Amino acid sequence: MAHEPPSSSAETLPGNARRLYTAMGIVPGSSQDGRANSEVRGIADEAAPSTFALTTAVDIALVRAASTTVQPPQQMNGTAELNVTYLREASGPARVACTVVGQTSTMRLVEFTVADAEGELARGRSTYAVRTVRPR
Amino acid sequence: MSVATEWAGLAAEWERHPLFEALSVTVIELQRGHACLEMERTATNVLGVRDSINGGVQATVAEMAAHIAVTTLLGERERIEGTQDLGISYLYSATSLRTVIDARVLRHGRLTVVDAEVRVGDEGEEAGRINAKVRVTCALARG
Repeated sequence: MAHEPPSSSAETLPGNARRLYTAMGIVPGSSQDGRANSEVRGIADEAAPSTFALTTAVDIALVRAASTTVQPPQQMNGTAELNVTYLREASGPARVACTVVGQTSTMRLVEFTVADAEGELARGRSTYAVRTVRPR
Repeated sequence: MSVATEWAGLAAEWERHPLFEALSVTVIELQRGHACLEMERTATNVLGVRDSINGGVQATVAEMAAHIAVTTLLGERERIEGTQDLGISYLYSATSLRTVIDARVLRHGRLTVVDAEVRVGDEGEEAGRINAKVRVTCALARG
């Protein structure tokens, strides 16, 4: 089930991912065994990431967590639902941590938290769709 | 589609936001309690399955549209404290060249609720199709 952890540097990612990660201030961390995390820094002159950046970061991290549980003949099929509750704004760089907590033949249930140096600032969950492709 | 003269400054201010430039987003309509944005498909925002616009990006742009719609209703002593809740249901892959994000305030209060849709912006058979349905709740501060 383990996937090779991605690089911790956005600079070594494929083009599209690198551009988006850089724009959002996202630095991907490890992903394996149904878990994935990333760090989110402020963009431009922001001292801390806005919820705008965190919302994208959460989706990207949960997809990476789900991907570690999907093996052929199953395929990734897209985020179906995403719900996030922000308790407060970030005061500095934040860490997104996602965990697959349930799965069926058609979806993965992912829970996540977002925290900064002062503690948890957001929490949520998502369902990620998977599909099974049988050879003809 | 148009930005009313009284909101032109607000639209220009948001279009200077770094994420507007990074994600190729513009304000195409702005009225009291209503904001409509357009996002071009680019090498930056396409990162989803089936070569679609990333789901997180769609959620983020809907969140920004919600904040803009709320801003048009703020009283003199009001400000947006932040997003409290965001929920998004993805219905179809966003693969069009242009994506329209339409946000309307449903309730204005200490907790302000916004309904938003992410739609196909291209002309043709799929024009206007809803790719994602979004609800954003913003906390407002007064005084």
